[in-house]
Amino acid sequence: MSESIITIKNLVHSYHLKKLFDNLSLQLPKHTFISIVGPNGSGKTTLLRHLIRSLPTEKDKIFLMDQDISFYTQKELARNLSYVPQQSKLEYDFTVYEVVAMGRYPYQKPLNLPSTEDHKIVNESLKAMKIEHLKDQNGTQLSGGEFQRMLIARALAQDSPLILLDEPVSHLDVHNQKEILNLLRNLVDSNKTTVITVLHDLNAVSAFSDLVVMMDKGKIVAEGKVSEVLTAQKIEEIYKVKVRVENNNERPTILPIWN
Amino acid sequence: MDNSRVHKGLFILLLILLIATVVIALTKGAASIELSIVVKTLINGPANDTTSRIIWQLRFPRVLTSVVAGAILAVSGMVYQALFRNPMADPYVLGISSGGAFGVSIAAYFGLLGAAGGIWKIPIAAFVGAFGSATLILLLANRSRGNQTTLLLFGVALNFLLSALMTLFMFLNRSQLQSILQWSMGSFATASWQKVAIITSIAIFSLIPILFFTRELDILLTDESSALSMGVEINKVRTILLLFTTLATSVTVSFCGVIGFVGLMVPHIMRLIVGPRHKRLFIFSLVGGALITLLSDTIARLIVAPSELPVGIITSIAGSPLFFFLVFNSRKRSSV
Repeated sequence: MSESIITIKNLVHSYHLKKLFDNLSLQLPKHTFISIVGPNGSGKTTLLRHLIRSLPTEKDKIFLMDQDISFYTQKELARNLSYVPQQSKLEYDFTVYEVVAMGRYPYQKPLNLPSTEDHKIVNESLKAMKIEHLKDQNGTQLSGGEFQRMLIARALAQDSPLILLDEPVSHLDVHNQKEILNLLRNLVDSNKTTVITVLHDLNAVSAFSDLVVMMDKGKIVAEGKVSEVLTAQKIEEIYKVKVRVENNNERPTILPIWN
Repeated sequence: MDNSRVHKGLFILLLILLIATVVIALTKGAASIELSIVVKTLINGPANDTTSRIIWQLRFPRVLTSVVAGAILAVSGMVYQALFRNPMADPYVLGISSGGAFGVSIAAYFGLLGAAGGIWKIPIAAFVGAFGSATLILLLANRSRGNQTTLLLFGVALNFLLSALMTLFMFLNRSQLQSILQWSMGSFATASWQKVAIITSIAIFSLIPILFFTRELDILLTDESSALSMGVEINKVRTILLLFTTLATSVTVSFCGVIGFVGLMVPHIMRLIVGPRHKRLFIFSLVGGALITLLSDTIARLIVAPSELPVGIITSIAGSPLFFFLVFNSRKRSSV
């Protein structure tokens, strides 16, 4: 296995006196497309929230590139890890460019104007997400797919080696799902970025991931290559739904049997 | 498209409007003074004649106090709206102004506002009260995880409670009735040069640091987890800015009473003109708040002349329809 980007050691998380994570441990390698799957309430979003430090985490539990994340300043963390939330709102009339340019915040000093480098990276991020033609448009008036691209472009503008995404394509049509996951896949293939994303569509997971982490009730029940994790037995056991799994070159197709 | 030239032009227009309103406000009052005489009196400086005394001792300090207080309230409203990601937040709606007024009335009741210690006692009492409210709001904002309705209901409930307690103190302390009533409804009638000096220095001290946080305020308008992941130290920024704005608000409350809705109205109007970015919004709110408050005070002075209305009545009548509009439109926002 290649060098790890995230290492979690014995993470504990309690909610209303109930333990969700009880000594959860995980190691995730660099330059890979990693999908986290599992039923609702299995702890996927909670895990991501620990990684961005929006939940209190003890020392020596989570390591980002071998350094304890509690030792990073907030801006240092932002330069190393960007995040696309599950649900985001834009309630004010920022342009798409202004939203994406916010991603440059961890590199900027108070009162300083954005540098040439900042503008260059923002434009590259818009281009990578194929939304440069929308840059002067009001961000509140975008379609769901365009909005999601804008958020990913903002994460790209952070120029971090790791991007975390929480269900980035859940509410999008199949075309937009494919487009966005392809763009994320290309980022990983360019060898610059590691993508860790929560996904619900197991076929999308199968088509795009290098590694899959399957969670249930706060535990990691399986991790490994797509064909190792997305088996009929594991899916039926965790999701309580009968499925037929057709194996196609290590990338299985999962067909739920509804009746 | 770069709108910066348009914005510069609009800002200059707003400044000219403010200066013109200042001069016109100096001409109006129980005794109307001609514009040319006002200009001449201002150029000549303070003198001993009646006209000069009316302008230099009564109207000018009052006009300047309303200008500075309006700027403080508008900028504070702008900051609160971003800090709590709530378009309906302002020092009045969140109960921070009432906290200041309550601090003053409780100090008055216990006889803490006597002559010893001078004019600073009132702002200190107001700051303690306003800071109490701000702390409660901050704790609630952290617990409610950005739930806008909870925060607003809490502000409304806090306002009810503090108003009831102030009424109680009025009954218990009838000798101070008039001054407590004045704080609860807002007025610039007691303006003086000493107060102008204090409120202006506090405004400079508290509002300038906000300029260092305009990027953070922009980012806070997105969502909390995004702001955090972009590197904003949310709790630190909230605490620092809440401290500065509460200080500025409390000095306004202590000298001018509770003036509602300026902090709500002005940032909204200015956002329609210059957009949501705080670097521009800051200076537009500053001047816009000054202009609207001065206009409101001038109307309050003239509408029932020779008597006058509390300025809070005018700002509330103008601001509450906007508040209703915002409540009804709070669901019409884009989200995914």
